[in-house]
Amino acid sequence: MKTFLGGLTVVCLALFVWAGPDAANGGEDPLVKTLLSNDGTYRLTLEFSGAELVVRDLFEVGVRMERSDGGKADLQLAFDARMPEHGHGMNREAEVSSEGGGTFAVSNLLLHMPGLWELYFDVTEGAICERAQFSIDLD
Amino acid sequence: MKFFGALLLSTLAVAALGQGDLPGPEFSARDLQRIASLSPLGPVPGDETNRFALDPRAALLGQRLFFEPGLSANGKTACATCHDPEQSFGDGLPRAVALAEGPRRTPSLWNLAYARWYFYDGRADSLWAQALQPMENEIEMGSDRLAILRAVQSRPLLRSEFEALRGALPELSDSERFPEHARPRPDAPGSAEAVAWLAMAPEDREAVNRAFADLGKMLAAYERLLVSRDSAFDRFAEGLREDDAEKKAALSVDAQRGLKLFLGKGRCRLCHNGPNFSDGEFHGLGLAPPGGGMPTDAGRYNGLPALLADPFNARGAYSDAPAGVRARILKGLRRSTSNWGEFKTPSLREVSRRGPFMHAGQFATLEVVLEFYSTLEGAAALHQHQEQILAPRNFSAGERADLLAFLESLEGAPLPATLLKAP
Repeated sequence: MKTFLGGLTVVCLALFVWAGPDAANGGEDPLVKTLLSNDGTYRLTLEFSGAELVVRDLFEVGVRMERSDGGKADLQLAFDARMPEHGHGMNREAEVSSEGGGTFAVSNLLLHMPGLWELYFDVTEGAICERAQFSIDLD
Repeated sequence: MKFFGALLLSTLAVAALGQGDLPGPEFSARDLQRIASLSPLGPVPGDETNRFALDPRAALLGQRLFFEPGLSANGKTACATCHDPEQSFGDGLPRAVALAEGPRRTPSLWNLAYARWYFYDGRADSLWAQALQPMENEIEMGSDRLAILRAVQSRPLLRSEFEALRGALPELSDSERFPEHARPRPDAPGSAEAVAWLAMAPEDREAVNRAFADLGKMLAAYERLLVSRDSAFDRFAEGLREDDAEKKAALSVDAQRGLKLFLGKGRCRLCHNGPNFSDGEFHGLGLAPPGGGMPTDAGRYNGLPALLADPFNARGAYSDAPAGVRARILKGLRRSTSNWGEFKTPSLREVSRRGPFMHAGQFATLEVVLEFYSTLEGAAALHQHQEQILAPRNFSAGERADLLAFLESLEGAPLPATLLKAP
């Protein structure tokens, strides 16, 4: 029970953090969000092509990645979006292209169903791979 | 004791009222937000791959072509033969019957301009590319692109309108260069049509393909006009937005309860979402084929490679935007075993005016469809990725009646009569 409530709190907090910048930008400017990878090694700044994520709308994400300690690194990115309650993800593969200097463009994204989505950003540096992720409940 | 007496009286009163007289549901703030996401249906989107999409002259010619039986092998089968405007652009049959019976139901043509993929298996990514395939399908219209273009050329009105829009047809009278019948047939490379096609000069094949693609684009320009909107549900949603009691009354109390179920317990909106009541994507229900047994139709699993191989797809040479958004989408498509048995989510607008239902006409009526979702009886487990949220909804008879009333409220305003017949 404790674990469940803990998990619920994390999801609620994630949704709260998500809702913050969306409300702040007045629904006009592109949504910007920062994430730390799960082990804290990398910081990601995400800039979405729209002010909010909407079911059925094509969107793109610009991703700037850097080491949290400020050190230089040659980083690679992979992306996926899944619906854990449904057992599937998007009906397409994201296109990830490097723009140099730790910046990537992730395109061809479409979340086709309402419900809980998990967005995964997997950062690779040599043999190290860390995941940065967040949840969003689309209605 | 008084309490039980009052309870009995109120129970009797409710029974006397009948289902339709039960009070309407309360809609929460979240329900209202979800209702707003379902209506109104926005303007018809453009199609960057079709330069004729918004041209009314092309739509008029497309309408002529749609009702023209001379494009078929037997000279008797038009698009409108199966997509009959009198039957909501379907044929009312469980499986399509044109030159022969097909494996799937004739889909309705409502609101196709809003779709992302075409056919139940998504093997076309534009309405114009879709329109080309039945004309050459042996069990549908059974013709070939050379014969089809000749049919246009031999009809003065069709020819003059076609050439005014896109330029001259190829020199089809030169039988040395343009055989009577020819088309590519990857499924039957040794057939006379395929051999004749490969014997043509590459530039002649290219010219024929370009004219054939333009014909499909003009058909699509007409089909894009077949839009259903302004239903009773849309008036209700407008009434909610404007707090207009008269408009809110457009939706019966039964249908309002059905709407509440649609948004909540039924979980219908997970796939049937947005103003066209479809997510535009593919899902597997594990439906048994007609006659029972395990599913045999691979659906999207075969549709996806067919789409990627189609020279008329959005990134192909005949697209008017081969580097556009639709073309880029194709880059991200990968066939997966989870695609096996998946079919496109149909729009629910006009759903009560068409039937039978499901991709192979498995269910004769909407009532049977609702019974299926209530119990999932007969559904097979396809694979580990099948929609895990698809669980029996256990609708009561009253709930099924309410859902049916809601689905019936999605019948839109009639189309202009001029669109329903040959011009």
